[in-house]
Amino acid sequence: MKVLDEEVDVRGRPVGCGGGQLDIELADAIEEYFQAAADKIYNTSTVIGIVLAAMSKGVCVQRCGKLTRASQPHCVSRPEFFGVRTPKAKRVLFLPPPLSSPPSTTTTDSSHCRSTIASSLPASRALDTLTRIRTPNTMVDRGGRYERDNRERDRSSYRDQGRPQHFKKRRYQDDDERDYRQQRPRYEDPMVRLRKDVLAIAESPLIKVEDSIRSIAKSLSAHWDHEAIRKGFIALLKVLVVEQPFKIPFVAAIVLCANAQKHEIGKLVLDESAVQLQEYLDNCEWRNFKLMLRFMGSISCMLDGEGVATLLNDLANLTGLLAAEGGSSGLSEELSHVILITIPYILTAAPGGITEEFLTTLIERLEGMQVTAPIESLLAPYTGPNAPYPAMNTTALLLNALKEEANNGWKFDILARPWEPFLAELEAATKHFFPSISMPTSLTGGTIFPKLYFSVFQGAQYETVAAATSITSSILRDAIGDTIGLLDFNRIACARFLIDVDCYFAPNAFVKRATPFDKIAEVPEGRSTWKPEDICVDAIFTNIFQLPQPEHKLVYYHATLTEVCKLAPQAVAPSLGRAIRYLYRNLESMDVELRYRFIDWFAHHLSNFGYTWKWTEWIGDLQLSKVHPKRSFIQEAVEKEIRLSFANRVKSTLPEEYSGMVPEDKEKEVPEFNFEADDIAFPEEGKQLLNLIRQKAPNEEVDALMNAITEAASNKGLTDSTKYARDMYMTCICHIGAKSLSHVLSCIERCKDKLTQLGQESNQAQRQIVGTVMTYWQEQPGIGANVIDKLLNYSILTPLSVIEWVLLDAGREALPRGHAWEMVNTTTRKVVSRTRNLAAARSVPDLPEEQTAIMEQGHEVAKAEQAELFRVVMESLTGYADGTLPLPEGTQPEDAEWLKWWAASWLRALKRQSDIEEAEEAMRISGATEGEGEGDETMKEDGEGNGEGEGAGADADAGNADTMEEEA
Amino acid sequence: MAYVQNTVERLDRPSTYFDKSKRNNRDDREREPPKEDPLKDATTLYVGNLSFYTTEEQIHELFSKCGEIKRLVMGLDRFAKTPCGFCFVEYYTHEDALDCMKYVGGTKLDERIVRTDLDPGFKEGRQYGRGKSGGQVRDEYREDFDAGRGGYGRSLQSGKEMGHEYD
Repeated sequence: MKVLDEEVDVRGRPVGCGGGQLDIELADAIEEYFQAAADKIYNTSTVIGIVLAAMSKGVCVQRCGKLTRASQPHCVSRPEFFGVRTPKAKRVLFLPPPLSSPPSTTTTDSSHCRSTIASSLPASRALDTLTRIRTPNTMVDRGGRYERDNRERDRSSYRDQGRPQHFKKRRYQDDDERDYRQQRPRYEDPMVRLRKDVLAIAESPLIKVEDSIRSIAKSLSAHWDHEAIRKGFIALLKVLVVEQPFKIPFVAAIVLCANAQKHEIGKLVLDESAVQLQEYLDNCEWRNFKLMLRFMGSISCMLDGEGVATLLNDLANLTGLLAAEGGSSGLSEELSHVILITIPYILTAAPGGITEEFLTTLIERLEGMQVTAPIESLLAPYTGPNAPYPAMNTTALLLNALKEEANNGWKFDILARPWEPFLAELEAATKHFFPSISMPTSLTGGTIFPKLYFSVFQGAQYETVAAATSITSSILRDAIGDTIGLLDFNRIACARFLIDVDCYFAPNAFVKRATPFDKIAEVPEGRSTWKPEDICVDAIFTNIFQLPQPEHKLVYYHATLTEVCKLAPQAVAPSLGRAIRYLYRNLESMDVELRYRFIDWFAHHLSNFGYTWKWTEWIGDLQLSKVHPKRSFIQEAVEKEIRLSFANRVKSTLPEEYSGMVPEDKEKEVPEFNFEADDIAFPEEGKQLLNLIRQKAPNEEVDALMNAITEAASNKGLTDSTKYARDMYMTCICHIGAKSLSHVLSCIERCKDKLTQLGQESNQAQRQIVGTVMTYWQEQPGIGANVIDKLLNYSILTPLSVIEWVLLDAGREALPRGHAWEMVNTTTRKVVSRTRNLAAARSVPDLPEEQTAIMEQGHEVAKAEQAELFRVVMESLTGYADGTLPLPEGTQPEDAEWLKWWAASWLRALKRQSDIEEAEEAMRISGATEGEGEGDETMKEDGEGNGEGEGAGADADAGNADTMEEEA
Repeated sequence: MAYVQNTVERLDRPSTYFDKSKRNNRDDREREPPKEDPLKDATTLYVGNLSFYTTEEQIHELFSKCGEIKRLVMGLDRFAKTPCGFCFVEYYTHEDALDCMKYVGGTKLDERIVRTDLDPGFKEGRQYGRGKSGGQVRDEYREDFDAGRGGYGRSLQSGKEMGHEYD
């Protein structure tokens, strides 16, 4: 008989050997049998006898050893009884039926009913019952099977329609297939099932959320005795809270509801989440801390006394201390945001011990602690007199909205209250003591920049997103912002959540999905006019336009917008269209860095959707001056599109009027070698040099030719005679490498020494090299900028020379160009990141003294270089911005104004970078001196933490489990 | 920290392709000591489903959105030495490679959805197609018309029935 590694049903067909698979209903029955065995209702020989009898009938159930061992250690299987041991079935459990054992706890209907049958029968008949339960053809089993599915049945109210429980639609080929595949009951691990149900909570608008909550709570309390369920649920809950914050109120409702049925659940959840909360706090993971705190606030109902009030108070004290220090690290602002955003969730959760007075006082206290970070004025997305809205700090907005809400009686209409149907049960449930949370001893982490309000639908005809000053706006922006920030590892899932945003808030909080903009007018008075699509598009743009940097790489937000568009094209595309128009309208006040991000996103987005855009609506703006922000936007967007595609393709998507944007020259794959033309100095020598380099001629020949050119130039009386040969050499390299990036790279690699030598002649020489490359690639400056970047990596060029070329040689006419910004931005960021890396390397502990000194020296050099770079930038841009540097001849007055505007805009963006670096360096220095004093203390804390408490206990448990596994 | 399963699937996991060779001899693998994951610090990505006409510059433009590119190796036809629809992109950091899996894999480049996969690293010789006619194997017997990848599969194009080599 092949029983041990495969489950066998009565007809001898294998049912499958699921390692870890466990049939839940049977497991309930099993518990009782073993209980009976433990209570010595059977002696050991009886158990063996029953097992043998069961085997002869082909009944045996294989279970995952861990679960059984943990809950029923005395029932570890003894396969050696039967002299059979197969490698796959190391832990096999045989199930004797119990003599009698009424259910001790509330279990699911199915197991309850089964154990009643079992307990009313003598042992032998119980075995028969069990056999029948396992036999597919009987009604009993069918009942069980449908009971497993009864959640779905409840939802679709099959029962309400009076259909029999075993009702199953007859299908085509029923006779053939039912016998073999479909009739076999499918056994699903209860944890798998639970996980699926918990994860799906509130996801479908078709399922009543209270039904899901009730059924999950019920199965949770029924199976709580299983360790796998307990551990699995806690782990799931912890990760769900910090990955899908939309679901926190619903998960809280599940916990509350389950606690009402079985108070151990509430206790364990509370203890485990408190440990996690403490961990987040100690590690300064503020977002996770905030979300865990939100979960705690949402279960206030089952907390003894004031629950999280003490914690909030402590946090407010900490905020006060930090604010008193000046708040330049941004931590006090972050903390007050954490506290404030928790308040709405506490107040809309099932009523707990926290009073409204307490919260009002808390808000007042925090109001007194508000400090403005010095950098804030440089982070505003829009500046100037035409800015669509003033710069608004999101924490300040939240604070004011909460004060307003306090006067209006704390309504928070937007938030869901899934606990409401259960209120009576919840109030009667056991309350638990809230574990104390200690404040962290040292606060780590870099600067947290203040977040400023950004919206692409502000001031629209209809209020499709909540007004900036409303509490709804703060709550939604926070929740959606966190979802986007947390789910970067799956942009598709993230997009799904954004599209489904209306499922997770109060019913009717939004207009129906995909309501067209002009239909908003028909929404009756008093109903919500908020469009879910607008809200999520707005949230993604808020991230893209976050200064100084968004949390993730910009391309993540691009990709998420693309996914949102793919999921619901009809609903999202019009919203996106309005967003683009809004941004385009406000280009004249937009920060230059954000302008570049807009271009970058726009071109990337269109490249994913066949380059379709209503270009016709901007035709009028083509008449504007080339330096006008709008005209420049169009030009640069087309340029970017071409970089992702090719000129002809982009041209075919543009209206006739745009043909000037894509001149013939752009269509050429390889630019012309300008020494082919005769109006240039030394055309013949140019061609000779090209041949020499192409044929990899020895250096001496190249040098000889170049010297000859220089000599000829000085003989002709030309100024700066060396520049001709230099220009020629670089042009030749560009031309040889024009075919592709790897071509130019290998050519640079080959001529590296000569190039370095040319560059080392003078700073001017390096600037000239930059100029040559950019002239060669003038029709495709993106490629030119790439080549420059590579030359920078080879240290053939210094960062300063690149910056100087853009700002001094290309001059202010280049400021509206995308590639100019790109060159300056990449170069400064490279310099900045090098300085930062050196600073980090310097402070690595346990570094030998001499190495530290080297690092220190390197850092000082890098810092000086960086300072010099920013000085040149500031000086030249200030000159352009205030008009002290004269404009070139023949500039139109209107253009002159715009050129000043560009320079001012660049100046602001680069000043921001430079200020941030200065502040970071200041932080590092102060951090280093503080850290010396605090180090010991933290060490001690850690040491104690490891030696005691839950962590150690869990470790010991895990250790035991491991050894047991080996034994078995 | 113990491994925690995410609530939704992660997009930055390598595909099963890499592990394919080991799949058959399961018992052998169990006995071997667990090897270090060669993709643990992978900085290289294999990029597939490109058009034959996509240039290095285009790839650079899209993939540099995830971080600076250290090296870009175009996949070439073994005989013609022309691009054959795949490439290797090497970043400076593992982070950038993972980000690329998350943010760029499955999006469009040159109007085709590109596939990215973590790769243990480029080795000389891997830049060539391994199909019979020099391109990628998938372009050998493809029955659908794909203008970006040279029309129908090459074997079909050559006008012979599949398996003609046995004649």
